[in-house]
Amino acid sequence: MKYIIRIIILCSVLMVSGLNFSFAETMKTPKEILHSADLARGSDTGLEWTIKIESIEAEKKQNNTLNLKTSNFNSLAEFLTPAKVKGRKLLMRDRNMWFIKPGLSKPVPISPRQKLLGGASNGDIASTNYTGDYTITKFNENADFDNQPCFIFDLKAINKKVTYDRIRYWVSKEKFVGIKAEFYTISGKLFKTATFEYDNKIKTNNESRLFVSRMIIINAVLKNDITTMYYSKIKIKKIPDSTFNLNLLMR
Amino acid sequence: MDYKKMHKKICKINLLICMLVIMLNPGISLGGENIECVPDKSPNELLDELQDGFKFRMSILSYAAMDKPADSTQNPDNDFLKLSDYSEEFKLRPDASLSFRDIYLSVKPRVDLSLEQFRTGTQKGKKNHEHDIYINEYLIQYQAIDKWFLSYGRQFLQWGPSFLCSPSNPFFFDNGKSQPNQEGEGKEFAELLWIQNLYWTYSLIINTDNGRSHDSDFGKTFALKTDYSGNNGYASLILSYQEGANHKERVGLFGGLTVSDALILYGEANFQKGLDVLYPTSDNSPINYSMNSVKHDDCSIYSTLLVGGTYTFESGSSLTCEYLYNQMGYNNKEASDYYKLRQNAHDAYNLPNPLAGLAKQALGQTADNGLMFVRQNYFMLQYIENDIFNIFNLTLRWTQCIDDKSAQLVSLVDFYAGDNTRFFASGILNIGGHESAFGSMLDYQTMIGIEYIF
Repeated sequence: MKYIIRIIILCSVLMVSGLNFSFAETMKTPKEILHSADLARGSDTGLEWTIKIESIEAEKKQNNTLNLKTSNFNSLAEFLTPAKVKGRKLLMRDRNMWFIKPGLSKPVPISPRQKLLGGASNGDIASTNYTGDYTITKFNENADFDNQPCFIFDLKAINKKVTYDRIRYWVSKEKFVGIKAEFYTISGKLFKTATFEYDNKIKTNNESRLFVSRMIIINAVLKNDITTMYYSKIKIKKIPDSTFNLNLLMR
Repeated sequence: MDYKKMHKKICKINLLICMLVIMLNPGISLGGENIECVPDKSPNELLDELQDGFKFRMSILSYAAMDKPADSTQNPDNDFLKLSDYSEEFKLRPDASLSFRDIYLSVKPRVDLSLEQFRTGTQKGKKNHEHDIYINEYLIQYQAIDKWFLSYGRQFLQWGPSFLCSPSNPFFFDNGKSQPNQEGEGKEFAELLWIQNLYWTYSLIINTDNGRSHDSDFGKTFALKTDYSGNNGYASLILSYQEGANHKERVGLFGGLTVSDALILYGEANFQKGLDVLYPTSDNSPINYSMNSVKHDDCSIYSTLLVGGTYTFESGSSLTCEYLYNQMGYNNKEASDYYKLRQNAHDAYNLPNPLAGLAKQALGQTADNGLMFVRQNYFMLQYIENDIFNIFNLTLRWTQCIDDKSAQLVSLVDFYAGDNTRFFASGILNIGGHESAFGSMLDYQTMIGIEYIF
């Protein structure tokens, strides 16, 4: 009987600890919410994914597919299709960026602002780290977007190395994922708007969580210029340091 | 006895329940992050692995170039350099690579067909047909231990951020940026690379053979390269030693800084002892001068410094500026003697031997004097705009020799028709006269071509 009581107590403790954990989830600080949203568009450890980019600019459509490996704010993008861009690589070592293409004698250093394709900057394809790169200047916990209750974050770049100086970011209260973002230039002009969808699921710590499946970027001035990025073949895994080594990029 | 049995049973139940609760509660883990990767192995995993690791790209390139050889003292009546007025080239450039576990293999065989026509000078009316099949680059690389890579191959080994040249590179000073549709000629290298961590990498590089290159001063070269890559910038130090008659000791450096989202700054440098550059010296020969390696045994340290920066506009276009200080280049006095020597050799070129022979020898040395940049101070401005109307890429490059005011304008246009076809056109215009840093070889060059890629 004594042992049955023990079992009941043990189960109760474990169940309560689980309940406490769930409760804590809902009581996240703004920074924790932002970090949760980051994890739905990136990873603390390592990530490999395939991104299909559809770009419409001046009514002309372009499609590119690339493989991206990313870890700790470093990423390597390799273009897979179409043939004219096949073999091109973009290496991002934190904010240092290098570009290489077949026939080019050596990697060319480029700035984060340089366009990847259509409305997508190089910074857009990488794993997201708003928690590390931005400070929260304003936080509104009673907003909504597309009939979804949201938090709104006003984010200001910690330094000038990031692609966008200021971001307004809508995060779903229910799912803790970013669903809309407005990107602003240093002069305060709205540069582009993005919306996000989360039809992918990944497993970490035996927990299934939502992961970004589509990002739609709309030019703030030329509203018909739209870039859509589809994310697939997502693998959460450790990416070796050698992947991001410039000496091995040319091989 | 019953009590003991009961105790064991309850312990088992306890354990079972604990395991069940832990399994059902994803918030609890037994320490360490447990990441479940999406399975990336199929049943036929070896074949899949090989397929995943194999990459192939084929480029079929064809272009025509029209050149206007300069009527300079370096090339009397285009008889010495024999530069064609018109040429057509056809090139097959397959690239294949296989990355399989710890092994990486790549090969870049090449087939070149060319036709040259001469319409001016002493070569007028002549035609040359040539063909060549060769392997320009190959690489065998083995990942010996986790972060150690051992490789041997023929490579056009390049590094550093600069466009004008690569002063820090003891193997290739010319980085091939001025002729983007031409490939650099590979040399044989053995390399041991150690990636200590994300920030530090060390390489021991040995240039064992001249490979496809035609460097006249080849000597086995050993280099120790240390690379640092930080959050905002990067830097490298290259210590090298070249064996042989043209032995040299060099210290190369390069580094860069991402100042902001739009601005990057960078620099490259080379300090070396032992120069195999030829300098004009006056003597009693019939042409009054000769070219000599007078600074070869000089104990002085000679430097090449390059600083530059690129600003990217919000539209995505970029502007790059570079300044090059080339200490081993000719100063005003040396340049004056150099052009006098060329003039004298030019005047003696058509005289009977031995004067003509002496003139040809002198012109051979003035053309191949060991200097990519003849003078000491250069400035470059480059504008790049990609995806104009989603189909054009434009590059405009202005290079100014500050010392003699001559300049070179290079324009490159790429036009993409569909996903596989690229049309391209380029133009080079040399300004400043024939006896200047840029005007000795060509007045201008225009090129149009097509590339089909799959």
